[in-house]
Amino acid sequence: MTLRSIFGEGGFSDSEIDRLVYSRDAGDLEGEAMAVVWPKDVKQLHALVGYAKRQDYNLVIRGAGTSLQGGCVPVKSIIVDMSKMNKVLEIGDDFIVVQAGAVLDELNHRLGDKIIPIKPFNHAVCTIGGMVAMNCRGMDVSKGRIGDYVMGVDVVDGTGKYMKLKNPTAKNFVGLEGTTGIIAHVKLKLVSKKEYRSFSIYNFNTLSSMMEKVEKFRGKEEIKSILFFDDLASAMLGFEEKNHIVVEFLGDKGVIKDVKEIERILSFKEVLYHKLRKSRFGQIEDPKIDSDKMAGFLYWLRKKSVPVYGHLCLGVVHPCFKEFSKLPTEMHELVETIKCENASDFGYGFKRKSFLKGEKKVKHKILKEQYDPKDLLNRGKVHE
Amino acid sequence: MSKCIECGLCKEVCPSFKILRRESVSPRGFVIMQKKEVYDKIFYLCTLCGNCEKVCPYEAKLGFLEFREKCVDEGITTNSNTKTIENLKKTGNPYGFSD
Repeated sequence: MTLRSIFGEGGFSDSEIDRLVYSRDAGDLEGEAMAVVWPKDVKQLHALVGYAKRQDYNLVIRGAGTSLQGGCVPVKSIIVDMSKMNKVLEIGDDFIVVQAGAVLDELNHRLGDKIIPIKPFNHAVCTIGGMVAMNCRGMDVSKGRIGDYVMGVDVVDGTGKYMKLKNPTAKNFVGLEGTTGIIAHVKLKLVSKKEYRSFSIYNFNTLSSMMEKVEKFRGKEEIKSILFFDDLASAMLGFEEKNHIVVEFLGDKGVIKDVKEIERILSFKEVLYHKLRKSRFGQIEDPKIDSDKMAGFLYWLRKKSVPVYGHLCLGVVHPCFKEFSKLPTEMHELVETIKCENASDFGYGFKRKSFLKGEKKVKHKILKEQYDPKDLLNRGKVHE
Repeated sequence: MSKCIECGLCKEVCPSFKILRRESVSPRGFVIMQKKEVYDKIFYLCTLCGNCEKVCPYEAKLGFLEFREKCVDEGITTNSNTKTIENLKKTGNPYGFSD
């Protein structure tokens, strides 16, 4: 049996152009693709893993290809492009079952009043399978992560076994970056678009006055999130060059209640992200900093004139560095020294394997051995 | 003028990608071909509609029309394209109709 016979003419290619184009993703790494396949169903996925096992090929699973960490960069791999597995299989009152290649925005346009509430910056193209594999967080952080909405997954693991899983076992494939199984179908909980919340925006001349205010808000039940932009990031957004926080309240305690205005506020991060990338801030990081160390960390960034934005309730901040800057390495060392995490939102992929540590690393190793002992899936990603 | 950073955020507005769902028939795929100076008939699957440039958050100018011209210069063309050019030269009409 060959790949061509498994996938047919339209489902397999080893042409020079396809191998070239699929050798990279949205980041700056380039690998080597041996061939590309476009599966249409679970039967083909099952046959593919069997083939890879026999021929000792490794498989790189690809959704929209928007990883910045080399998440779908091949290492002499067969690329499994899930784009053609994009059908909706079932829509219930409060759930949806889709194939992994279904695109988020298309689903939400189709869904109406109840939607998938996680909206990452690449919402126009990102696939549900990719979102689940990354356990991504949206721009509206109080909604949590996509994993919070996963009710079940159907997967083909690295041994070729097809499994229909509910929670908690389904979670063994959430956020594992495709290293434990190929996600074929996902069942997701839907939630109402209607919400009872409001926002207020505050600005501060100094970081210390801002942190004082944040401490007053922290832990209060009605506070759902605190989005922060330092003075440099604020200026890029067109605000006064001061530190800003956008506080989200449960209920109507905030000043801004208009739905359209709230939508505008929620788009700040997306607008800023694109402005930063356009201005050649090619290295946007995602350390998670303990609350008692946050002020010191932000001072360090300010001293280095690094624009930063982030979520102070979660402790996840996004310092933004120019392309080729050496400062990220300095920052990684600092984060290690203060015993915080260097990666929280953007995954590990190839580039950031060294950031996976402690319990998370042990858990990943156990799951990898259980579901993909021959290391066929996304080889070399997440950790060695 | 901004250059494409290959983020891939324009894929879903590309009418060719929407149907074929193949990265090499997407704006990012065409940009990679351009950068590597790979000329191939597959590029004729770009409809030159410009949707990708319209939605680009970085306002990149992709230069696909110029790349099509280069393909022709390199002798990479399709039968229908050759016929259209011939017709235009002979009659000034892409379908070959004369007044």
